[in-house]
Amino acid sequence: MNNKNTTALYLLLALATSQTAYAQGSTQNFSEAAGHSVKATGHSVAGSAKLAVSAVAAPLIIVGSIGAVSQSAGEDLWNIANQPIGDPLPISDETVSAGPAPDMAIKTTDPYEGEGI
Amino acid sequence: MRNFIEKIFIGLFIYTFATSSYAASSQAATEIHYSLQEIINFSKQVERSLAEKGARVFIVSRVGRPVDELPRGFNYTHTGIGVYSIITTADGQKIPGYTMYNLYQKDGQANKSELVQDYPVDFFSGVHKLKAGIIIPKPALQKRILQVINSDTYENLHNPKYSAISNPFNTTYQNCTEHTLDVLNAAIYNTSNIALLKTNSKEYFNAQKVKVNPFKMLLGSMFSSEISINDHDERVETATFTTIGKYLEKYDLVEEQYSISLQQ
Repeated sequence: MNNKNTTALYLLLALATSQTAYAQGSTQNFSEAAGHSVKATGHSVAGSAKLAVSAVAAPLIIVGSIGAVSQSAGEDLWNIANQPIGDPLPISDETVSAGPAPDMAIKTTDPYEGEGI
Repeated sequence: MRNFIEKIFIGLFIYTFATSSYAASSQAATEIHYSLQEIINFSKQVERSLAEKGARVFIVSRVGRPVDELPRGFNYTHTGIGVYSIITTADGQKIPGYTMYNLYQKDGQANKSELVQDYPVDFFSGVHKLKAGIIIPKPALQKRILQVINSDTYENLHNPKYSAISNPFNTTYQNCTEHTLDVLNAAIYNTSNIALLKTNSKEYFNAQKVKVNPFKMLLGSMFSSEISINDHDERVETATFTTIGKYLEKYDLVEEQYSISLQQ
């Protein structure tokens, strides 16, 4: 068997016995196809689901920690921040999504056009 | 020389053929496999489950590619950290919800990563299965993780050189799960000293052995920029959501660990 055939045989054996090598897939979902699809679909289900676009989010820090919420932030937030970890927390019924990726946003004068905001 | 070129071409052909599902999986991570309504419902189901339990911080993972394509021992693909937050929407509302803290590969640069915050609906938008792995750390650890996320340490622990099977015991490359592990250890040991963090990981954390045909691994590292093996010895190991769960359980740092699937 010549050298080329040996190489091909090894590679075919590798193919026949191999499993997918991929371990992690951290591709950012919403940046391209997913983002557009979801937003496009979002308009058609506007009656049943509202998709709000986030401007900024800040962790609600527990009172007594560095960077904790101050009482001036509002009574509700102050109360939540004072709750012990493990007590039930309020969750908005609204669904929030990140805005478009910067490279997509820069291509339009109004990145949020059509988002109803 | 001609023989060498022939080998390369044969290798490329076989690799392309052998990994067509793998390329499709990568692409599939940006496809929608469920309706928007299903993704929204599932995201809210996850949020409500965690809010009912009063979780300020949790570790979360998703199934980003078909389960039968994952190597043995891997149940999830991407891992991040969820943080209870006050979210200011573009129209000025302040609403309570969870924000996801992620290390994502850069678009068009599979061997580079960036830290990105998004929301549950973004996080689960491209999954193959609407299933989430959840680890709620003990309250004391949740507080410490919050402190790390709110400090420069969170960004300082980021290594933008990405490998899908990065070795969690050195700083050559990093993937999403290794960054999560580094953040957890920074919180546990209250230090941002990466050398100390890696020493402690080596001592106490058991990584997942990557059980893949070595030949295929070699081809993968040759032809795919997001897979590197030069940070490993003969044994290829990486951090996973499951091994992080076992690590935290072993040292009594887990309040609750469970998975959530879409309620029909």
